[in-house]
Amino acid sequence: MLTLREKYYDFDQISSKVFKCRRDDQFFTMKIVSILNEENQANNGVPYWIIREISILKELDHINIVRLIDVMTDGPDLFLVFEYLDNEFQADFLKNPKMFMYPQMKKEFLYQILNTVAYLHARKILLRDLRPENILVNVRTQVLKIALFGAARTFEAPLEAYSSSVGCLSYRSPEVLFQFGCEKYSTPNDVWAVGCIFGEMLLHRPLFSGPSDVELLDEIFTLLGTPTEETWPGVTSICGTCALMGPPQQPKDLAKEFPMLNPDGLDLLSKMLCLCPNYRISAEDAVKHPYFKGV
Amino acid sequence: MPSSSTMPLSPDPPFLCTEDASEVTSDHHHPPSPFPDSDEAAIAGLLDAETHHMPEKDYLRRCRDRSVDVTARLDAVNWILKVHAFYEFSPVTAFLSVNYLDRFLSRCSLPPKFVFEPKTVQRMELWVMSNLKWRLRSVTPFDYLHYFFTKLPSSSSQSITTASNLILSTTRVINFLGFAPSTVAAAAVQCSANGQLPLSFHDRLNSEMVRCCHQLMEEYVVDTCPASIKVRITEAAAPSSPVGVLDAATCGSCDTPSERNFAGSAEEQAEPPNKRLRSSASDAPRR
Repeated sequence: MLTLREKYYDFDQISSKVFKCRRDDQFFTMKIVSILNEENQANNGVPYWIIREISILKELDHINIVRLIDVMTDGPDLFLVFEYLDNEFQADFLKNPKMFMYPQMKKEFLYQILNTVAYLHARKILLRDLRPENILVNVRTQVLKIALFGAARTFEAPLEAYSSSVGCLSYRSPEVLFQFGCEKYSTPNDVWAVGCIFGEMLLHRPLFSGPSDVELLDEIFTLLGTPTEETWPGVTSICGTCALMGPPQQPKDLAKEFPMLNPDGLDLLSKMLCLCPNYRISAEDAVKHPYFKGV
Repeated sequence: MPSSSTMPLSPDPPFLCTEDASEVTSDHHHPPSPFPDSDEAAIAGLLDAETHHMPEKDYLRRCRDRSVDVTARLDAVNWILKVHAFYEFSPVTAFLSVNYLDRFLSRCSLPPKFVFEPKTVQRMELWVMSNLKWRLRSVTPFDYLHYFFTKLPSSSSQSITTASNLILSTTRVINFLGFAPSTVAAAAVQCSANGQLPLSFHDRLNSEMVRCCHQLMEEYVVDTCPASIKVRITEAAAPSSPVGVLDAATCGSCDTPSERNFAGSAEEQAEPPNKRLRSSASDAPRR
């Protein structure tokens, strides 16, 4: 087997743990993941979450997912070799001025996100923390890439640390927020996150931004109404105390909140932001929604 | 493959892993979340991927000609099944372990008297995983079970548990190594539903291979005794005496499909059952 430096060369440091490198005529992005730290002595083997993440990435082959090409080892370090995205791929795509100029582009990108989520769900893979920061787009070619899992940021913290209250909550679904840390992520949670991103594309600001679980839930209910046993069977037993839900609120008229959206778009948005996870549209069905006719 | 004496086969293995067993039993391979039911597209994806998760093509031959130590392999499989029973892991966990073992052995051989110490576990793991190309999310027969059961006539008696146990039992017998996971799954469903699965139920499955695998399964892991499945589970819990299974298998008769039936099939390494049967007789460790 070739060693790392026999296989890849022309290393160019991008950040402390990320390099651009080359093999033959192709560029790659290499991410260094250390499998040693204080808690994890050599005796303990490779942390299972690293194995899990890598083995999931190894099975994925989708135009909209940043591809993991190779995994090399050298001492206690793992070197993850990803497809290289050139400078045309930009993070923060929601802030890109071109997004404002071409409404059709929003629909195109939304479609690519949903298509990717449907692909993952068909393979029993959850995104769990989809957010705009993990999405890179090339506005010229209109290709969107999702950097999955640790790819977009540090791989060094266990997944558990990501999924508790670290980072922003904005894209968390009400069912996850109700659990307060003991998450029961499932496919509707990913669809909710896409719905939030859809809303953010339209409003040019985060749809929900509550700094805490309770405030976020309040924002969600202010827009979509407080769930009842009728709209979300079992909701009172999930949330425990009704204090969490605050005083009951009526749903707002989405057509007034999103005047730029046509009826098909409003229908899709409301189905993705359905409070009850069991009634929320699946990614597979969302891809087939009439809103995307002609995409 | 080392001689079995150097393998960590003691009944009380010092588990080096500091992970809580519950993390492992929580079955990451099939998250208990409400995923949409597997549809045709998902099955097609599995069929495309499954050959990438099988041992190297010549592995079955090397097992048969003894360049792989099949006795040591069987000891290791039995140990895996024992750990599986002890911790009540899901069947897919045990099956994956055996899959990793076989894929690793099909690419690498360990030096004789190989013993690895706690401090080298991590290096060993990395070595194993790079040899498996980090493709640990193997497609297994369990991925197909639910879908295949939906293809049964509604009247048929069916048991996922029976089929699961059958699939797990195949890990002990090298002759099943030549069959693709989808074939093993279809054969197990066929066995557990008394042959009611229509043979042409999926156009990408080779019905002749399924029939052959089913037949082998009847011979090797199911016998005429109605309690056989139960017996099999008991043996899995006390795998120190696998001789019974294989001895029983050698007594069975097998009507043999002609060898040409296999020509051009994707599963070229499979051989006619009568040949398998003979080689299996000598696989059984005599104690």
